[in-house]
Amino acid sequence: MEDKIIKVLMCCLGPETHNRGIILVSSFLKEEGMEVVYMGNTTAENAIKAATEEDVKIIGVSSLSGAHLRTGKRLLELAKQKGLDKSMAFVIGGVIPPSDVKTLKEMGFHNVCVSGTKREELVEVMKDAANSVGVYHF
Amino acid sequence: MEMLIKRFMQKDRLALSKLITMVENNSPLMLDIMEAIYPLTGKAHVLGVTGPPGAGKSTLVDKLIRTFRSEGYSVGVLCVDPSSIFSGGAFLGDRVRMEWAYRDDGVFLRSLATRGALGGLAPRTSEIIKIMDAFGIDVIIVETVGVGQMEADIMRYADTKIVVSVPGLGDQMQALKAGILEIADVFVVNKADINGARDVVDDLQMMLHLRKDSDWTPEIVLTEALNDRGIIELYLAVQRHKDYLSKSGLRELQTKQRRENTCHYAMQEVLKNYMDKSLEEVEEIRNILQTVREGDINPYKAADEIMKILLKCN
Amino acid sequence: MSNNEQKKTTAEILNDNLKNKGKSQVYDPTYLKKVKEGLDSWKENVVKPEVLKNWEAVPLTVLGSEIPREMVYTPLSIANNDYEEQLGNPGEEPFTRGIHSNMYRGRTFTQRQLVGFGGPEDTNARIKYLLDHGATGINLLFDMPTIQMYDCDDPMSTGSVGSCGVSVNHVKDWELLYEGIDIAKETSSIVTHYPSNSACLFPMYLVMAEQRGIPWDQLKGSIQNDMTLEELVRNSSEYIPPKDCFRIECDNIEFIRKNVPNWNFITINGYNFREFGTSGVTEMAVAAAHGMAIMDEMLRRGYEVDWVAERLAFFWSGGMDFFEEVSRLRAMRRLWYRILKYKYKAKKDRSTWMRCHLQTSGISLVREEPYNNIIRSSYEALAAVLGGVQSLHVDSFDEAISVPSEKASLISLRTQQIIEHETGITSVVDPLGGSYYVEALTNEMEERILAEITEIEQQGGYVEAIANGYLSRKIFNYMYKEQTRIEKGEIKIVGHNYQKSGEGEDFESFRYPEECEARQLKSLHEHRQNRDNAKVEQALEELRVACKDGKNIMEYTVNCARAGCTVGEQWKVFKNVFGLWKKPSLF
Repeated sequence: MEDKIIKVLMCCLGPETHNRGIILVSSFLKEEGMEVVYMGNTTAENAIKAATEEDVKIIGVSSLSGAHLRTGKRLLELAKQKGLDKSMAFVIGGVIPPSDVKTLKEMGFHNVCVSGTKREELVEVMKDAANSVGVYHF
Repeated sequence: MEMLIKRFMQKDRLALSKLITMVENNSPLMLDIMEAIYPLTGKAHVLGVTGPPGAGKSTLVDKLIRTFRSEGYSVGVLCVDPSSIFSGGAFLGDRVRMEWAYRDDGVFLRSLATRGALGGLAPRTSEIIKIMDAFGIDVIIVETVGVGQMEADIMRYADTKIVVSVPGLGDQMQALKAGILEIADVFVVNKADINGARDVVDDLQMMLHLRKDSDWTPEIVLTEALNDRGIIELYLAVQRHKDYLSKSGLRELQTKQRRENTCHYAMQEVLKNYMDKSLEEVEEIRNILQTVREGDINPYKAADEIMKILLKCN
Repeated sequence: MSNNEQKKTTAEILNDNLKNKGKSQVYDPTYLKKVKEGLDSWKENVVKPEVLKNWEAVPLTVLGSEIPREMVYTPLSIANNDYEEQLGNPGEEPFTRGIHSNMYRGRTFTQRQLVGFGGPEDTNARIKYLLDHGATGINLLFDMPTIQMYDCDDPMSTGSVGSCGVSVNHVKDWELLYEGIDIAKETSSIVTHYPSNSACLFPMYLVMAEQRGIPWDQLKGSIQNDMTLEELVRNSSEYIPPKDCFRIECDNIEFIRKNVPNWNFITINGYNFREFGTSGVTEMAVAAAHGMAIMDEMLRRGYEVDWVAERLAFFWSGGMDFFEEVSRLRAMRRLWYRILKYKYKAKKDRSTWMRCHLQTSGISLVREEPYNNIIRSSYEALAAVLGGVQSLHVDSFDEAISVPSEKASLISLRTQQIIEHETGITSVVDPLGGSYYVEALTNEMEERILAEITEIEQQGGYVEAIANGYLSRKIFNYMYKEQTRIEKGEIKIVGHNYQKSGEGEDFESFRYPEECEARQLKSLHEHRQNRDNAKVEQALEELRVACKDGKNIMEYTVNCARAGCTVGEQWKVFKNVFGLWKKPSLF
């Protein structure tokens, strides 16, 4: 079964003005053979709607303006409501203080990629996150 | 699996999504899935939208979605983007171009990568359309890469085939001509505010003069998708074509033909899989292939011999 | 102007004008000959062969231009430099050495630090703190929702209000922001980024002044108002078409020039464009092309060149390649002068000045060992001062982690103060002038910038180069290549990919007040309740008609500000009238 292709949704939650991070990461992931659904700036609701329809394995969030705790929390809450927290993994990256990494993981993010994370590491994190997702049971 | 189908029948969007994934990934359960949903198919109207890059297809489709929605139809959209030949990955960026897909639960949008398939369509598009149909979606829009080469694939899936072009493309239009003539039901000239729109319309009308295979004269619609012009006209043209298909009996004819075609394709697939598997696993066949490589036996004769073996050891 | 002349590129026009100018050699030819002989002999006898083979080295830095440098520069490198033609005295054409004759001896570089977070009250406190500690200007930054023109109650704003800048929705917020601050005295650089949000936000500042009884001609400061930011650099789900954005930009310029005479109506970017990912050369070429597009439009509207050019200002990013940064500032000063003089035939000296603000590069700072960033920013600031900028912002060391803390902001301010008061640099104008290296590199940079301007002109000019995706793709290619270089270690960043020690990562960074979102929502709700909504509707409708009819938009947005319209409400009008633009895809 060709489940080897990993589908990832890349987004910025809220009106992020910077997209250097999301653009670079999206192109890396594409080069690693992943299918990247690029959403750019969007709300948590839209991201969840898209993730549902696209049946992605991972939702990747790029956060550069410091709102990660609030917007991240909202995303994970919504995901839980819709029953998606078991069928996909969540990864967040960007300008994030080291002291918030633990909080984010406790919230439910599989991993946090702070700015400056190397490409290889990033890809490993994504593959790891994809593997952590079990088969979805209705 | 049963639970999945049950939820699908209950119109659970996640269930629809999961089924699509399974089919896209060639799940071994595909036969069961198709068996379960097939009886529910046949109601959706499928639109195929193609055209060269830069024609503004995404914007056009987006506006069309809004029109359909305002008329009360549920809409499904399939956006196809090319997979990289080198990495196998893909950048699926059509979703972000469609505002209306965002807000509306009456719209189900799925991005598909071509995954190595030629012809501009993703593998399993036909099956995915059927699943969406079975789910109860009224209008399904398939938007393709549109590199100008044969979108003959659209013929297989779409009831109404829409080809989008823009003024000023010159040579591209020439290249598209040969294929478009035969397949389009509706021509759209987008960005019609640009100089040269009239010329494109004239060109198209001239071509259509030469086409006399059916009672339906393809309509030409001028649009400026970004400015919201011509969208209603396009919608109406599509509805007219839909009516024509049912009234003329063509729809039923096409449906029957499609059923048979689907069977053919399914057979071809089974045969191909069987053939590929055998070529790898059956030693006798591998030996023959080796002699073919060495030039000791001519390939045509070898093919004949291999076929005899294949048909024997089923 | 004949048809032929109209089609000439800027480079061709400049060449035509300069080639016949007389040359007075700086160095005596006999002397040069001696130097050459000495140099050749040195190369043969003293320099090692392998060094000779690698005579040119290419420094690889973040945001660098990869311009090859010789191992050493001599008078021969600038043999053809004409002092009067190429350099001039400070304050004299071509202004290479500085736009004023006495530069920092007369007026020091303005020390502005960016400020903005939470709600207006929070930022108000920080502004007062910085002013008390010696800052000579206010540099105001807005939060993401405000910048992107979403009111704080829009679904897109949820969770982002007050992060990364101050949340401001309507005139009353401005009042709180500037409570107890004399706007007739303090200059404010209002970082509005885009033409669209400048059109909505700046009028609110003006209306605040009105309400305080301060005439507009007493207001001093600047806004960004830059299309490069709105259409090229910005990440968004919605854009208006480039030509409409450009129209708003020019409307803003026209209005402000007429009605707020001491205000800088645009700060041509520069910084954000480069930070996104491109070289210092491209940064300046795009800015120059942009400046020229504005000039052309203003001429078309019937104004004189000087009317606009007098107040044009630029905003650069200060990178790590020390001498490149110094040289390109000098190069751009000279190039801009030449463009204004020979292409646009400006009559006043003021019109030809490349006055600029510089911010040290944020992207050059890293997360690991954050205190190293202080050192990086210091060098970048030093280069900026040696290059002759008019105003400077030094990024804080915790840039890569979060919004700057008070402590970090202070260090940035001190960096500037130490340069000014302890190093003695400011006692001499253009101290590096005359250096063989710096003059040679200045010449090189001017050539390269001009070459890229020509490329943009071949695309149909600045607006077209944006609309057709040429510039987007250019940045993407650069950014991608640079990232690869950094990961391979070809571009070395100490502590990050070179000599990585992994220390200093745990770090208490600034926390902005999260409850400000609730506060702002409440305030906005009250505002909407208490204002005259009929007036609001009318003002918005008048704005809509003005957009359609080609009137000057800012006249109508000022009216909207008076009526109490919010930023988000006005942006919606723009979207509805101009329609949305789909950016050409990068991949």
